Amino acid sequence: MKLLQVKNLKVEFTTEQGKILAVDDISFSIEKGQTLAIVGESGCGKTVTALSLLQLISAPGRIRSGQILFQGKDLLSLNAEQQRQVRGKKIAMIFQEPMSSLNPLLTIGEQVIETLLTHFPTMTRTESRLKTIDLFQQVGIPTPEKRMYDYPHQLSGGQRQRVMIAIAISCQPDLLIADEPTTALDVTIQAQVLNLLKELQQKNNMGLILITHDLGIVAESCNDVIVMYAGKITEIGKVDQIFYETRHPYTKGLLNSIPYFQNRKEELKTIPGLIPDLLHLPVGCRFQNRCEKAQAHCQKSEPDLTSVNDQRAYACHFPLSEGLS
Amino acid sequence: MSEILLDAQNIVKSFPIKGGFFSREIAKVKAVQGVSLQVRKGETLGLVGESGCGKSTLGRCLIRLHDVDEGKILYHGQDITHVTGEELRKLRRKLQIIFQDPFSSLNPRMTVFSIIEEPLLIHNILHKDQARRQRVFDLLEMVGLRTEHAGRYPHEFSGGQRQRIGIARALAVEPELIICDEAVSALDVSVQAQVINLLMKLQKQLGLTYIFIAHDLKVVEHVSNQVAVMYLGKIVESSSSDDLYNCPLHPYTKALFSAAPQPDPRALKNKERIILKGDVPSALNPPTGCQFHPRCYLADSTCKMNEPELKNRDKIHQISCLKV
Repeated sequence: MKLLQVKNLKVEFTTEQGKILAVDDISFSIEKGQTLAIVGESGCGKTVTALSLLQLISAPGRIRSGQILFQGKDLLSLNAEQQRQVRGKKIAMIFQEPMSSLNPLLTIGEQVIETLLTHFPTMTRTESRLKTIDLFQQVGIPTPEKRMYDYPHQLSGGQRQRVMIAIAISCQPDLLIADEPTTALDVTIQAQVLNLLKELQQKNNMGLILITHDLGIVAESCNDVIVMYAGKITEIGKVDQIFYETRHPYTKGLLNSIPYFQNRKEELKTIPGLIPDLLHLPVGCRFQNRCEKAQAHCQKSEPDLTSVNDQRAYACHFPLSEGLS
Repeated sequence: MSEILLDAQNIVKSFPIKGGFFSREIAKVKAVQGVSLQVRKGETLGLVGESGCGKSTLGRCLIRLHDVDEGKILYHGQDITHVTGEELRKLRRKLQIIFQDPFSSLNPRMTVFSIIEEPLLIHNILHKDQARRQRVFDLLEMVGLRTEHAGRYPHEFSGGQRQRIGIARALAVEPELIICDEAVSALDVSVQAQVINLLMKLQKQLGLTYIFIAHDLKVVEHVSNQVAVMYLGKIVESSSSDDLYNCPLHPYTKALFSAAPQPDPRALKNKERIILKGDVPSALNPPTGCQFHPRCYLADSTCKMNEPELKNRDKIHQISCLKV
């Protein structure tokens, strides 16, 4: 059984100008112990996808249709109380900005204890304090007995993110969603945090969904990759396939935009133009106006996500030939 | 080699921390601690380092947005460290800056036209309305925006387009040197590539000199001729971009390079990883001796006691480490 299986998920937002589908009919799955990356430019629906897995989408947004099967159970059919049993306990999330997602008025220890007591009502305070010290030790916070009485503002960005991770893993979740967990951090601290996540994942055999726009992080820490564009999945594959057997021109464009692959002083290859406005999507393929391979057919019909096999699919009428890298 | 446009000698800048009775100065944050560097005309100097290492403060000191505590800044060989008044105003025309955040660096109540026109008015360039209008339109075109964008407000643009407006504003007064302070960091990779291409095209076209401040090492490598690595307010290593990226010598530079994620899964298999312990120490209370020693994997007791100096290793390569 798959740990998580998302089927035909649609999330819509109501705006003054009309309804938009921020996530438009996406399906994917993840197994225990695996890392799945969701990549794409800002505004392509990565975060909305993650939030909808925890049903944290609030008005004016709502999940329109689809299924989110977690360990075989459809999360969308649960009532509020049952959802709370899953959220934070079975599926946990780490957010991008560690400063604004911690409560500035509570000590960091108190914030972990709060989570523990919510999900394990039989736990005593002393037990929860010992558990907190243990968790801080696991995420590499030095002298946790003292630091647990610190407030968030007394910590550096990297330490704050460690506290977030400690809260997220406090109930030993089966699935951890990390939304740009290192975007606000420096590279040396980023390497520390990514390493920590990898260690914890192996120890607890967690599934990890990593949302990022940094293809370097994808290459280093993920097994499977989903590329999203304007609310749709454009390509799914193993990390090697995405990097070396790229089929979708958008993925290729993203890879080409990184200075890494190019000679210095040469002009960088870019994807011209901007992502389309979700209110005024073009007829046909959403990527047509920025695609160098677009032809008349792309303006008429929208390509479906064609599956090669279970873990490989792409949505393009004129995919790049295989083996091209 | 072209002439040296900007020559900074031993720049020191600290900020007071006030507190207590009558807001007395109780401590000092030493943001920049004796940095010397040179930028040649038409070239790009890259400044890299972690947040809090003083790279932005240094950039701002160089164009006199901050007054330095000690040291000298020579521009075209002339000392500009303490110029004031009319002279400083003239200088501002030549030294411009592009900021990181394209959302907060543009006034939301001004149209794009007035944003770009403002520096022309301040510096009294082009007195005739018609000529000024034309100049704004030319600038918009130069940065890849359309003339019909002139009447719009900043919120109507995407991050990449806003950064283009910031670039047009900086170019309006025909500067010689532009500080790009994390100018592309907030952008998506595809848009980032567009803006980098634009900056490099303009450099060729107008003979601009850049000081490119960024934490993204790949971007800095791509645009820079010279690169200086900063740690806690000091330059720890500097060299030509090719040399530095091919053979980094300082343990901090090595760690920084190895920590940067590489978008190449196959190359990673045989990559040696250096993961630094701990955070950057506070500039309020920097470590003794070599400032990097608490996080350094080469450090021993001598590093705790003695402070290394930035020394020339060969013609282009400078490094400050006791162990290399």
